[in-house]
Amino acid sequence: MRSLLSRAKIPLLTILAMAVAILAASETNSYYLYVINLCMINAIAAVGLVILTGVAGQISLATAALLAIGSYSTAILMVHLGLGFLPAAVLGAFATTAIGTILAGPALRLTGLHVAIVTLAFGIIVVQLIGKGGTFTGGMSGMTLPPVTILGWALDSEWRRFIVILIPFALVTAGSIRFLRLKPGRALRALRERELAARTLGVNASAYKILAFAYASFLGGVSGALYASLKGYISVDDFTLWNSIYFFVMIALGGMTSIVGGIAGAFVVTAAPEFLRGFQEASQAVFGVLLFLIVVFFPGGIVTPFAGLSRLLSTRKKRAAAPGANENPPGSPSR
Amino acid sequence: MTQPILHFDQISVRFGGVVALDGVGFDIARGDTFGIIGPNGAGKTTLFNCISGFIKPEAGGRIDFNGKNLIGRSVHEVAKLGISRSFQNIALMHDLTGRQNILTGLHLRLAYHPLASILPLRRVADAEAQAARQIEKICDLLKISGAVLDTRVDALPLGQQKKIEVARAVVRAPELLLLDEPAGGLNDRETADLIGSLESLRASSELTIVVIDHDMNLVMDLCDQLAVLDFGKLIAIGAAAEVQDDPAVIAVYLGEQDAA
Repeated sequence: MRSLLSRAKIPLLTILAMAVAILAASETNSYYLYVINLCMINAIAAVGLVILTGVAGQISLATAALLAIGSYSTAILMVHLGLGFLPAAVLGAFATTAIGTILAGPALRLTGLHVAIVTLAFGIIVVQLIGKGGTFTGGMSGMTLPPVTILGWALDSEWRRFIVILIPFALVTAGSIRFLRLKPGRALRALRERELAARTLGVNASAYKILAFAYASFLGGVSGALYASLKGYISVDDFTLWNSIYFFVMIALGGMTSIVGGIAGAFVVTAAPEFLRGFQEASQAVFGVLLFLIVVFFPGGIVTPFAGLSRLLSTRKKRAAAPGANENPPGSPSR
Repeated sequence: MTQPILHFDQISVRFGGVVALDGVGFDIARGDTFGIIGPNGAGKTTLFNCISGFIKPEAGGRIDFNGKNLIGRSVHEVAKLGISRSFQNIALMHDLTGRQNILTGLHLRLAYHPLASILPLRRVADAEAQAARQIEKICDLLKISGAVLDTRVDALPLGQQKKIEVARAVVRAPELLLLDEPAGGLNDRETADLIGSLESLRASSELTIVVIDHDMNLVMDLCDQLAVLDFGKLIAIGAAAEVQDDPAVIAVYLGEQDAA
């Protein structure tokens, strides 16, 4: 169980390092803190996508739609029913889970790109329905949230929002790392790579695919609710197909199957355009070049150089001791 | 007569116009190590796939496991009843270590709800620690070294990969183990090593093993009972030594060798 402890420390250290960086930055500018808040919110949804797409292999272009359902259901519950932010966000996250899990239905009968098309269609439908929602959803002009308070504590500064976002971010990170490393992560991974073998070991393929959709939908809902509280105003323009593709880029940068990688990818993709504003009109182009270089030089994700280093240090001994580790047996499957 | 662990009756499978299995029926007794042999395309793997639930035989057939009909059950339900198997082409996750691969074999033994894994619960940690001990135990029995366990399987020789696949199948202590060409592609030394591991497995448990193989050495060394399939039909069944001398079997095997 020693590895359990040391692995759990990685996200804690990440968060700690971040907190220090923010402290330094935010003294001078609360805009940086806003960007960090947005990074954490996007990271929560990216973690869901790591599990659904990276690990379970279900290509989803519905991330923005899940965020839309989470943020709009939170806003609707607050505006029309007068609920406080906390109950509205919790109900909103569960509503997103319920609606997003519907996607598992067609996904169980389809594979690969067909799943992507179904999730794409789902995204279009959700945005269209919200846009045509009249006064209920604010239609194309969006919705403004009432002032957000949690148990009487007003979220009226970036610092307070930071604390309220940090808690779910830390819980999602730690919980998802465990989820991925223990039974469910192993089952999902086995299903993606060796579906037939996994099923003969007793893995219920349908149940685990549904679980992956539910998990990603819940995190999308949480992310959306927090997004609404951060922005104070939401509109359908926040939840386009482009946003879904950006989430895809985040997890691809992170190496697809790594929680920490997905979080790192979310931070890079969210923060980079903000910090590249110095390039003015060229900022999008610079961002594009940056993404290109990362994918070309680190196809395994931006965390691979670090992971590779630590693996090199820890397994050199073991490898040397493994019999036949360097042999290349004839007939062995190569990948 | 005691109830057989596995009872086949009138199993027929057709792929398009090709008859893969043609009214096959026989019994396998509990605790036996049972070989199914026959030339390529005789229907051996198809029979395994019927047991696992990948293929549904034509109506009228029965496969009873401890008296319960398997036909119509989903693959994971069949697994849950206590049936485990290996595959003709190794079906391991190549980029994971042996240990991580074998852990997936304990899926059914880890009783906690998948979502319970999110929380640092005592029972989750206990279950995982128990799983780690079970892996050590099975690897001691099958003579898989710790160094092999911690190596990515794609860096291992084929013989070790085959043993890891067997370990993954038996670590959860099933009642019935189906091995699909366990010696396929192995050299003589690796085959002997695998036979040694399977024999210690058999000696330590009540496990019933059914083996498909072309390799007569493995089948003859390991199995007490044999069934011979040819073109989807059962042509001989009985004690290994008797079946070997059966004229019909000799015809099938010599005929094949002449052609080859």
